[in-house]
This record gives sequence, C-alpha cells and structure tokens, in this order.
Amino acid sequence: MSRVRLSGAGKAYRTYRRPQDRLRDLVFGTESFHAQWAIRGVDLVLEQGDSLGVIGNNGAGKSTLMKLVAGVLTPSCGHVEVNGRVTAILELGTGFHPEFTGRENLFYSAEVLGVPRQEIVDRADDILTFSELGDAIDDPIKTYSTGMVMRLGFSLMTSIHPDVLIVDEALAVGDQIFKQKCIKRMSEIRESGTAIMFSSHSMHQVTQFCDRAIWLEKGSTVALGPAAEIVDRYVAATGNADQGKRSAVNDIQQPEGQSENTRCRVTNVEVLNEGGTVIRRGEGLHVAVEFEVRVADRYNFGIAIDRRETGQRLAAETARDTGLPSLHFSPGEYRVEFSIDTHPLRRGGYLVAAGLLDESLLRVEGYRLAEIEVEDPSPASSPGMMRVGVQWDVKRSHYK
Amino acid sequence: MTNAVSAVWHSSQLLIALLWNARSRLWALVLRDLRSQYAGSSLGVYWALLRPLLQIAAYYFAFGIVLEARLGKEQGGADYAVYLLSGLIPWMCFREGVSKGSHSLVADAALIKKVRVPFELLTAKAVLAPALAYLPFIVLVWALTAASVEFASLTFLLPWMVLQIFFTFYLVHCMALLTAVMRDIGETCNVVVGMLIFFSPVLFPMSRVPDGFKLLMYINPMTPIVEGYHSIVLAGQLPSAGDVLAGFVWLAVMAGIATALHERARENLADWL
Repeated sequence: MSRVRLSGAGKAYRTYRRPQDRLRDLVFGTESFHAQWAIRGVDLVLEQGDSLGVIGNNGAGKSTLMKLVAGVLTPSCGHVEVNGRVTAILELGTGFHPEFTGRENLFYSAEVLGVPRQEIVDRADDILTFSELGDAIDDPIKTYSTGMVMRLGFSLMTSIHPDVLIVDEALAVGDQIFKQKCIKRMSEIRESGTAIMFSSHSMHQVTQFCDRAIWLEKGSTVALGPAAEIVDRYVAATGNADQGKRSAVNDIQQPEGQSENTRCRVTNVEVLNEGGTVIRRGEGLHVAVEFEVRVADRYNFGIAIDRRETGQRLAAETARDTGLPSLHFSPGEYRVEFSIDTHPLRRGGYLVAAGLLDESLLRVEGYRLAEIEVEDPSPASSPGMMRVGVQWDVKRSHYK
Repeated sequence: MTNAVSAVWHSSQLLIALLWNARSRLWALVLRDLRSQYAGSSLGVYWALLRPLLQIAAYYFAFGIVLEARLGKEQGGADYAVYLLSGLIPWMCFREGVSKGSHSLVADAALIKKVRVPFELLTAKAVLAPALAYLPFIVLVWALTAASVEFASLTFLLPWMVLQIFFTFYLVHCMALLTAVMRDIGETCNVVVGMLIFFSPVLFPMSRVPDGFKLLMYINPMTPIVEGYHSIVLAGQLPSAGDVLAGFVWLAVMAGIATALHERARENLADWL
C-alpha cells in the first residue's frame, strides 16, 4: 500500500476583495472569491521508505503541496490519499509556547501537534539527547536561538517514527554538523519504512538525502525523477548558479551568524595563488585562514569544497584526517595556510569553505568562504563530477 | 423539520465522538491554554479563581449592599447572596467562554495553518478552559445551599451544566467561524454578551421585571438556563418544563446553525484566516 498518492491534486486559494464577501460565502454558500491556483494537477506516489525532494523557486507551490499531504489544506481538485500517521515540520516552533521551557513544550505542545503524550514520555531521553540542548531544556524557549528551536522541534517530530514525515525548509537553520545529524536521522527513519517529503533551497541537501525529486514551477510539475538528475536540470534551467551558491552560503555562514559563539571567529579566508581566484587545472590551491581565538581551547581545522552551481559537496576534510591533532590556542589572532591539490577539479566554479572545529570535531566553530574558478585549457566534454587524470596507452596486441 | 432535527442529532453524535476520541489532545489544549494565560504572572493560575471572586464581590456590593436588592416570596425568601451566586457563576462562565471563544479560531490561526487539527477542538478548548476555573465555585454554591436544600436535588446541577456547556459550545463555534471571516463579528458579539446580563434574571429576580419587558428577557437564551439554576439551587426542584424546553430548543437551533456553517467552512477556513 502506498503511503501517499496524489492524483490530479490541486489547490486554489480563495482570495476576497472585502471581508463582507467572505462572510456572504460562509453564511449563504455563495462563491464570490477569486481562485488563485497554487498548485494544479500534481500526480505523485510515495511508497514506504521513499524520500522525495521538493524543489522549485519561491512561490512555485512547494509549501502548498506539502500542506496538502500534511492534511492542513484540503485539495480543491483531484485526490490526496495518505495512509498512516503524518507528522509535518512546516514551520519552526509551531505550537511551541515561548513562555514555556523546552521541557514543558515537549509535554504541553507535543500533544497539540498530534503526538500522544505517552510516546513523548517513553522517548524523552532520546529527544533530549538528540537535541543537544543540555541544561537549556529547562529555560523558556523565548530565550532560544532559532537553531535551538529547530533542534527541539526536529528532535520531537522525528522521535516518533511517523509513517509519513514532511520537512519543509526546516534544515535551513542550525549549524552544519547538526544538519548532517538531522539528515542521518531522516535516513534512519526512512530505513524503517517512513516515506519522507523534504524541501530545501540547498540542492546539496536534496541530492544528498533524496532518492527522487519533484520540480515545481508555477504550481505544476516540471519534472519528477531521480534526485541528482532533476537537481541538475533545475540548476541548469534556472540558469544562474545563484540557487546553488546561495544555499551553500546559507549552510556555511550559519555558525558565524550564531551570536552564542564567543569562543573564536574566522576573520578572513584568502586565496594566495598568483592568478588570484582563477586556478588553472592541476595548479595547487593555496589558502590562508585568519582567525581570532577568544577562549583558550584546543581547536582543529576543516575545509570543504562544494560545486558552486549545485552545492554538491566534493570533499570535506579536517586536519585530523591528515594526522594533525587539535592544537591548543590561547587568546589572540592566528593565521594558518594550507594547500589543496586541484587536479581532480573540472572546469567551473567552486566554493572553498575553511574554518575551525572544536576539539572533538562535533561542532563547527566558524567558517568563511572563498570562491574559486578552475580553468581548464582542454575541458572534458562528457559529463562527470571530476577529472581523474586518465593515462591513455594504445597498443596493437595482434598483428595480421 | 424532522430532517433538520435528525441532521442536528446526527452531527451532535459525531461531535461527541470526535471530542471523546481526541480527549487527551483536547485536555492538553485546555491545560496549555490555562497555563499560557497566566504564564509569567506571579499568582499564576490563582488568577483564574481570584478574578471571578472579585467580580462577584463587586456585583454584591452594588446590588446587594448599595441597592439592597431583596427577593420576593416566590423565591421562598432565599438570601440575595445565594440568589446572585447561583446565577452569576454560570453567567460568568458563559460570558468568558463566548468572549474568548469567539476569537479562538483567529487566535489559533497559526496552528490551523500548520497542524492538522479539527476546529471543533479549538473552540471546545476555548469553552472548557474558562469553565474549569468555575468548578470550585459550583462547589461553593453547593456548600452554601446544602443546609437548606435537599442534597439529592443538587445533583440536577450536573446535567444542567452539561446543557449550558453544549449550548455555549455551539454558540461559540458559530461566532468563531463568523469572526474568522469577519473580525467585526467577534467585537460585536463581545459587546452584546456584555450587555445581556441586564436582560437576564441574574442580578434581579424575574418578578421585578415589568410585564411589558418580560418577552425581552425571554429572547435571551441564557434566561431559561439561569432560571433553571435558580430552581435547582434555591428551591431544590427540577428546572420548570418551560425552561427545559426553551433550553433544548436553543441548543438545537444553535447546533443546527453551527453544523451548517461548519460544513461550509471546513475546506476553506485555513484560507480565510
């Protein structure tokens, strides 16, 4: 039995010029509205364990589609059939009361969101551990950062193993490490049979997590198929690298934006190559990272390389991977330089993120981005993510 | 006519089933509402008791002490304080339910737009949350009159309260739906309900109302309900047949209107909010 089945589903929002018209419609059953179609004629089937990415520009109908499946909206045409229990994260902190502590919200608000109290009681430890909120769980959530609200909400909504899970843009906030943890959690519950619908502006997250993707534009399906393929087509069609770039920036700048990190700060990331940010293929990439340590501690370094257009992560390494342990820094300003072999990079734009991690590598302390352009005098014409440097050697093996 | 009656009967059964099946969720909503209303105040939930107490005191001062209101012989010479309490407490329960409830869907718009929740739960919550705060006062009335009235007759209070709660719920459901499409209706409703106390036998007995105005009193749906409480608490009798009939007719009418409006609003309320 499929978990979700949409056939020709559509939703028209009713807009009114005056409230009196709304009143007349309610009392007398007239129809004095203008229909604004948010989505139209969507066909979709999700089986157990499916993961579907929902992509498209703002206003394409992503949220409307997810609300239809969540049962918050009723379809104006077609059918929406959902089998099993649905939980939806449509907005951060819905149902949470700002005056209540995190713990109180778990118990008072969870049931409002449709999660039976007993299940929360049974899984409270799991939720608290996953959310990493520690003692903050007993503070009113009005004192939380958006990242913390997201952690609590996500931990709650995914702890109960729903049959269908809907996550709309919830992973746009929070630090990189926690987002990866969320993706891992979603993968786990998908393994157990949950069908997942996931929308994100980060093409990286969509390709990383989803098997399939649906691309919406102006409320209609443009394409539905394997996630990597649909994302590539979407990025190609929307033309600009902007979509991918913005998302990568979102992902990476977040920890810097968190005011609670007063431990250290990355002040600058600079490309040292002679040609500036334009790198010839094969040339080594030299980068300097300047940072300021405020709280003495042991820190480690990390870098990541993403394709600018798609946000696809090509590499991510910490200094520990190369055998360099976390080093102790006392307060002050520092500079570290490192080199990367760019040989496998194809022609195109890349984002190099460099920053600091905590000693245990669990938390990204701070990040900065450098944008590079790889030039290739003999670009590969076939598709692929990287150039592996093939050596061709042709021999005649048989003489006639 | 019989069709309409059976439709109302059917929808009431569905409603009760819905509320019963979602009872733990409803209870969570009620608790959350009570807690959040007084969150951050140092007296906390005691305000729910203190507020009605102060209001009762103010009414008693104005009518019992200053105006020296006394009851006629038809009330069996009962004390005015008991008369006032037995009508005012259900009245305040009603008024608070309506004034809060009429805005409940607008207030919970964020929830309706993001979480799948039956609207009935939200309006029921708005009626039940203030009603809970009045339960201790019902016990107070019970205690005050237990000496003069036969204990058994006070058990009639319970079904009569259930009737009041259901009537309030249907009225609130209508008002909340209407307010959702047009905010002015909620405001109007609050003004009207605020005045209705003067057109019901809460502060003064029915016998003091000039004959020409008695009809005006009976247009107020709360009049038969309040009179019912008076019969039970003051005389230890069942509410009169007329009051029972009027109470049930009002209940049926409100249930009918609420069902019709709900049917129309079901698919579009999230858009309208």
